[in-house]
Amino acid sequence: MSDNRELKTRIIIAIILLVISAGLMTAGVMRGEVFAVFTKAVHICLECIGLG
Amino acid sequence: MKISQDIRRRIIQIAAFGFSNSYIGNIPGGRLYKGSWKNFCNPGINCYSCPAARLSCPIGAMQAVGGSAKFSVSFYVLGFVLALGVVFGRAVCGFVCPFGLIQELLHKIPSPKKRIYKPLTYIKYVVLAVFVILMPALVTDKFGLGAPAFCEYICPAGTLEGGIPLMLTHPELRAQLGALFSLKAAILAVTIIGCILCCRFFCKVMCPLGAIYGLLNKVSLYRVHVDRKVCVSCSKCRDICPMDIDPVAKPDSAECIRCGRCTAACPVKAITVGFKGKEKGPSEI
Ligand code: SF4
Ligand code: SF4
Ligand code: SF4
Repeated sequence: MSDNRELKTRIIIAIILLVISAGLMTAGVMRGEVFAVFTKAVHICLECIGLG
Repeated sequence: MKISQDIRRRIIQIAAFGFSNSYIGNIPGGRLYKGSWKNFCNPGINCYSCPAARLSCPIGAMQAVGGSAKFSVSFYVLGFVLALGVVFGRAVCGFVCPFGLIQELLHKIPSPKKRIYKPLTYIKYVVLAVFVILMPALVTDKFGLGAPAFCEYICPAGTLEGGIPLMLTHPELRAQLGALFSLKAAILAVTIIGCILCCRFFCKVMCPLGAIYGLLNKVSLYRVHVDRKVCVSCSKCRDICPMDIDPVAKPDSAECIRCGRCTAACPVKAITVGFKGKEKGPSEI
């Protein structure tokens, strides 16, 4: 494939994947995942520090 | 004054490390930062149980959501990592991951230097599938909660950045030390020795986040481009590559962290790293 065609294909795939990622993030935010992330991150995680 | 690609990358790495770990004042008291930045994930590996950490660790967050009673997979974190990976690929590893910088500094310790045994690089995909995705979602207790298996049994970043500072400042945590901590301390020791001998040993062998970004190297907009008509097959790029790959043979290798060292080493400027097919080489930056 020529360089230009390869670049074009990459851009098209990237746009599709970026739309999917925006959809995933929106869905995650709407169903309340951010709260789950925040809650985990502000307390000492016993698994992380090796006390599990 | 021209700044070399390597120095420019190091400045970005240090800035990203500083931004990710700006609450160093929390270390002596062993307290975690609890502000709103923790709603967001770090692009790289940086333990959220480190008192200095500003952001959430994406791999920890992926497991926390996947292991919760309500959800079995985290759309929020997957979407975030996918977006970054599609645009930058493993350049995230090369430029902004705090644990990547720690490993590169460890590699500066004088010692014999080794290349990685290629089959070991596939371990990280198993780690991603088994410890980050499957175990938190499927191995659950009676309340439907799954443990973050990668954090619990493997992650040396958690032991180094969270475990050690918190153990030093919390006697009540020290009193609970047991077999699990010994296992994680042993993995940390292997990682440190591995990184001294082999550049970014953890990135190459174990990191599940690097596995995701690496797969996205195949499609990422930020990429390595090799002009094969110009290349004189001198192998200088392969010899200098810290990730032990040959960019001419595999410019989209899942191991490439887009560090740009090969561009600087190429005597005929056949390699470029950037967003476009033909970007500026290091001599033109
Ligand atoms: S233990 Fe490792 S994977 Fe888990 S949150 Fe900490 S740094 Fe992230
Ligand atoms: S492979 Fe993992 S630890 Fe290494 S730089 Fe990438 S995200 Fe960070
Ligand atoms: S191929 Fe080039 S850009 Fe990629 S890791 Fe090796 S030296 Fe760095």
